[in-house]
Amino acid sequence: MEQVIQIKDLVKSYGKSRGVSGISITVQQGDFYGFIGPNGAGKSTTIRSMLGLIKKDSGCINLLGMDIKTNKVDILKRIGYMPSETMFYPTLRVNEIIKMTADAYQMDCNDKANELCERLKVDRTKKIEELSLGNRKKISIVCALQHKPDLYIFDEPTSGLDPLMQKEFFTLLREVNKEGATIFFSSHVLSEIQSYCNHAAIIKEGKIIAVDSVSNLTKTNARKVTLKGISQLPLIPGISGKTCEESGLHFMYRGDIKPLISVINKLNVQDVIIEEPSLEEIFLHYYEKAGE
Amino acid sequence: MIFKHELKINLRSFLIWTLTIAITDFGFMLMYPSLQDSLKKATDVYSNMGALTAAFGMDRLSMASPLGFYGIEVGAILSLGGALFAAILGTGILSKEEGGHTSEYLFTLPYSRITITVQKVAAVFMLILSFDVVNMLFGFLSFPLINAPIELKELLLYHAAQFTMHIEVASICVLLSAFLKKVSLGSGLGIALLLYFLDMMSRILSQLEFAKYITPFYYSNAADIMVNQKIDSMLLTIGVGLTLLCIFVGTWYYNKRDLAA
Repeated sequence: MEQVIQIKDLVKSYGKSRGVSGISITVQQGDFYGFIGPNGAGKSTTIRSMLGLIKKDSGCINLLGMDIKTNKVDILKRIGYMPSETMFYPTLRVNEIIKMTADAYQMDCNDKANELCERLKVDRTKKIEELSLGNRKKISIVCALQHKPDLYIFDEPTSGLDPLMQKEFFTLLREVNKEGATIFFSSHVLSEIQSYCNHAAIIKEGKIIAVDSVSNLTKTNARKVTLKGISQLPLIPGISGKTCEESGLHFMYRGDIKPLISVINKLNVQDVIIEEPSLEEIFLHYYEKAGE
Repeated sequence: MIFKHELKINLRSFLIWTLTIAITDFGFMLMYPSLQDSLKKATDVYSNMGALTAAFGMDRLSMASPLGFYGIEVGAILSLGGALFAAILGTGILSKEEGGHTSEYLFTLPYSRITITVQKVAAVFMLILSFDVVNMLFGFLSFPLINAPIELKELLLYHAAQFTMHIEVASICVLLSAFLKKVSLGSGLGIALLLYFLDMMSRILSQLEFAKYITPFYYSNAADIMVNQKIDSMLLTIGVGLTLLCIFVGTWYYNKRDLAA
């Protein structure tokens, strides 16, 4: 299977400020790939390097089998990009922006643009300066999807979209993904990654700290444990993030489950809940682990 | 496509600047017959103001003639107004993308950064050319309306020099724009005004005579061109060279630098 995104040892700094250091990511054709990290972790720096908006200090970026440094225009022809801060020319009308974008790809995108505008309820007669962030985001979706690219790159695309539009947006993404397109999806909304992505990379302070399939990332041997009826716990290896609340004693346990069960057996607990942690908790777990 | 887009975006500003200056100049020319007598009387006063007379070219051109009036009175508005318009266009042409947060949209379309820059600069030049052509046509039209002969060679040379000067001011501002991350109209207008005053100072103060090699207002001066019936070829060559250098350096730098979101 073709590797659509190949990033190797990407380094980018802004003077003394950190950007990203030594990032390596590989995304296969047809994948729905999540890129997770909080604000300032280096997600946008990675994406902006991929698109040639900023120049990398070192490393290699190959998209669709071509080097971004030498084949930028050919690569951009096959990419649909949606930035996090979507802005267009304020005095132009929506229709003009959609046409201007289609013209750039030298394609007649009328049918697809009409379909997308209908599904996303885009008013094409309005001026950009009259639109809210959410409505500008909808135009950005139309611009990214109308030319039916092979690779979609989204940088925190759902901020500003209402829940109905978010649902329609993900339906659209699933459709293009089914048709074989690759999606690279940056977000800090972990539920989105968990629901839609096949693989994901977690980035912290400019470095990748975990890469795996989303199912593997959530299937760690870490367990979220709640013990009711007690407030103290004897020292057990593998426990982290212990908190005591009215609902009980909560902690994450990592390791063989049998020693934990035998310790709990000896305690005067009213109830025990052992469950798989959510991606949110796993994300925090990776962050704590990487910080140690 | 970027070329057409820039023309469209700047159309309103173009119309305002072009028509304001063209109609003002046209109006001045139509007023000339009624001012002719008083201008004749005032010519002696104007020609005895020492350094200021030279600075405004009144030692070589007479305001009492239609061509002299056109060169001094109308020319002052056209040259400075056009330079300010050129400065506004040039300063904003690249920096407005980052300033207006549209860089991520424009520069992820399938165009090289050099293509975008070249088309943007070409649009600036086209707008300036249109500005100068419209102003020239209004100027040409005004002469028969006041029953004055059209002195073709002088007028064509003068307007060609004005166009070259406006292009040079715009190019200096394009270079500035390549370095800016947001539009700084003040800087662009400052450059245009500085070059304008450098021309006047170089004519008044001998210590500043060297400034004639820097400011494009010097070689595009109406009095020099209309009296000598030529543009100073050395100063013009320097001006064209500086124009090309500014465009080349601006494009090169803008092509290699990081773009803000």
